[in-house]
Amino acid sequence: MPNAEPSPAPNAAADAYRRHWGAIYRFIYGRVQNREEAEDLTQEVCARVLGRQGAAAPTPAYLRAAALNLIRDRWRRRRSAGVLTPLEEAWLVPDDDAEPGRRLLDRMWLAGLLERLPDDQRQVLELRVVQGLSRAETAARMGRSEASVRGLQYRGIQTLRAMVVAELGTTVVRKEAERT
Amino acid sequence: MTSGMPLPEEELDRLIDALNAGRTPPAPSTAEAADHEVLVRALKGLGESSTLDTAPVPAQVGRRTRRSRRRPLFWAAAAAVAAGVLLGVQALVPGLGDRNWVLAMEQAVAQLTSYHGVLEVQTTNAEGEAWLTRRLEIWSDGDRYAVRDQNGVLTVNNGTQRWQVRPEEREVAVLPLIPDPRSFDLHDEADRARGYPHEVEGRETVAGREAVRLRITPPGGQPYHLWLDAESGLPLRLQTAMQNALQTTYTFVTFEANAAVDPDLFELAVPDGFTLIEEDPGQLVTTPEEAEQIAGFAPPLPDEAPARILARDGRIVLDYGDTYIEVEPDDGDFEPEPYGALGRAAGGPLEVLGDELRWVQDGLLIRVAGGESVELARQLAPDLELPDRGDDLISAAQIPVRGLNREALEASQQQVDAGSSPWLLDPVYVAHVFVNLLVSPEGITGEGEIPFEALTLAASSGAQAVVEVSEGPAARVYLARLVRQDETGIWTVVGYDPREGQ
Repeated sequence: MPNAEPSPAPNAAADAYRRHWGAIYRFIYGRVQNREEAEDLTQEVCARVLGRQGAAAPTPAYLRAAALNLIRDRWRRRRSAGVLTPLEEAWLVPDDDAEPGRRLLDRMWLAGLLERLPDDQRQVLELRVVQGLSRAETAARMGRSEASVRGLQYRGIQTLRAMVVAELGTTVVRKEAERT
Repeated sequence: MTSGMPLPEEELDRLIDALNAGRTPPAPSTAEAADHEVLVRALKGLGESSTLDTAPVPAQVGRRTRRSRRRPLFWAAAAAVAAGVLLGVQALVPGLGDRNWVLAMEQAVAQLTSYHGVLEVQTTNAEGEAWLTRRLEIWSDGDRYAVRDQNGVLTVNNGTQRWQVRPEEREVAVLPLIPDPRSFDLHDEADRARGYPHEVEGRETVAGREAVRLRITPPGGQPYHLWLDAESGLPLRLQTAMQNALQTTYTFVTFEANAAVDPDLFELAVPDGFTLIEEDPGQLVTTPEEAEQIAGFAPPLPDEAPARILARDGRIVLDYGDTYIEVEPDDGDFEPEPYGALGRAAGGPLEVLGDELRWVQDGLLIRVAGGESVELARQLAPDLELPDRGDDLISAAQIPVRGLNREALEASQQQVDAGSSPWLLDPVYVAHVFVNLLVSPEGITGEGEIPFEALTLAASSGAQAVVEVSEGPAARVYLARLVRQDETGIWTVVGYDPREGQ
């Protein structure tokens, strides 16, 4: 059996933090899509992983895995049932997972689904969510009332959800068929 | 004033507003709302600002954001070097030696009952670039405090409740009491600074005042600097050591000791036109019996009593200061993380990840996190067995794997360090590939004949592991971290037991 490597230098963790924190922040931001959560999670991941004295330099892969697990853990704990929905699980699959087909909430695919929505539902989601406009700004652009925008965005998300859930179900059935 | 479950349309609208404002959205109230949240996050990823090419910029630049709640990293950085931002209300006698500066500060803090000041907090990275800058107005009165940030968001903790007033969203959110990540507390830091070696390094001007610079060296820690007003002895500035490539400087641009703090500041009140949101805060309770009534289950109690107990439906937290115990009913889904280490507790698996321990006991999922986690965990589970990196798990392998190439392993480790093949960090995954290669030595097509679900992590010391396989030519696979023996080391199969009859 090969001999164990000597303990890493004490600055290894600090060096790793310096190298990786930006990338980890961007990775986490890609999942949570808001600065407040991304900052919180980045700091907590780095504190957990790098907080141990004399720890070896963590890999980016490890940091990403730790980040996804932290997000999963937080989301699970804020729910009374303590479980995530299949959509939440699908969103937290790593990009470089060994099973490439597993990440179902792929952006290209989602953009395609958005195109299939009724025009008004698609437009309200593009303005309110993708572009980040306020309800008032969206209402002005669409020539509608704010109450109408609120109802329309809800119907749009409901329609999108139905399409995504249907696709999730189809994929699960397909994978089961491939196994047998 | 409204509270309780929002209407679905309203909940979605609030979610979109929060994410557009760069804020953490409220917890979803239903599974449908959780799905909506995922879809909104995913859709936002289609926008121009979804991918950030640069590191986070200070809050004053770009889209309006609210500063995140101060996180344990800053607290740990400050606490680890015992950030002693002390207040000296007594005038210091000129010519006193070094020791009397800290003594004066210690006495002054003992006399301090309240204060009001504006604190500028700047965090810089190792290149000297500003990473975060905040300006906070702080009121402190005994155990109560209130902080208003530069965006007008006011966070208040009156000892029994914690809430946040968000003027732009016109809402008041009641938050959990724990965790409460304050950057620093003067009295706590004064306790830590007492008795540390220190020296006067010189005088300079800080915030327009002549200041004395002290270098304070905590035992076993890195030195940090403290500047005191040369005339009054009031602390003007604290600068932490560089830790994890970040250094934080706290500067009081204004400070009033023993200020009269309006008691109304610590009363929860919802302004006209504002909405009250209860973000699942839980309640502070005084006895475990009260916690049981609220949570619906009886918490396990260590010998050592907690400083505080919080409870909500389905969750109890025992707060010990820097360590806490979180308990909730077990839903049967607990599986230790494969990149952690495995021990035993309460007759079942114990997951160890850094200073966090998790296990199931008497139908409850218990999580203990913090500096005293092992001691408290032992009080709950006397049969606790921590993983021992020295444990020999692999010499029992009936068929050793030969021809392991050290250079090839080191190359693989470097690849993983660079971000490739992260599955090599998961012993179950590595074993899965190995057993499928036993079946198909010419190469695996698709997912392989032996499904992933046929493998279970049976033991892990963190340096060696055993995976049991329910089908195929191998009954057990033995793995070791040969290149690096911590959570960042890749796993390698070093042997296996053939299945009987095969």
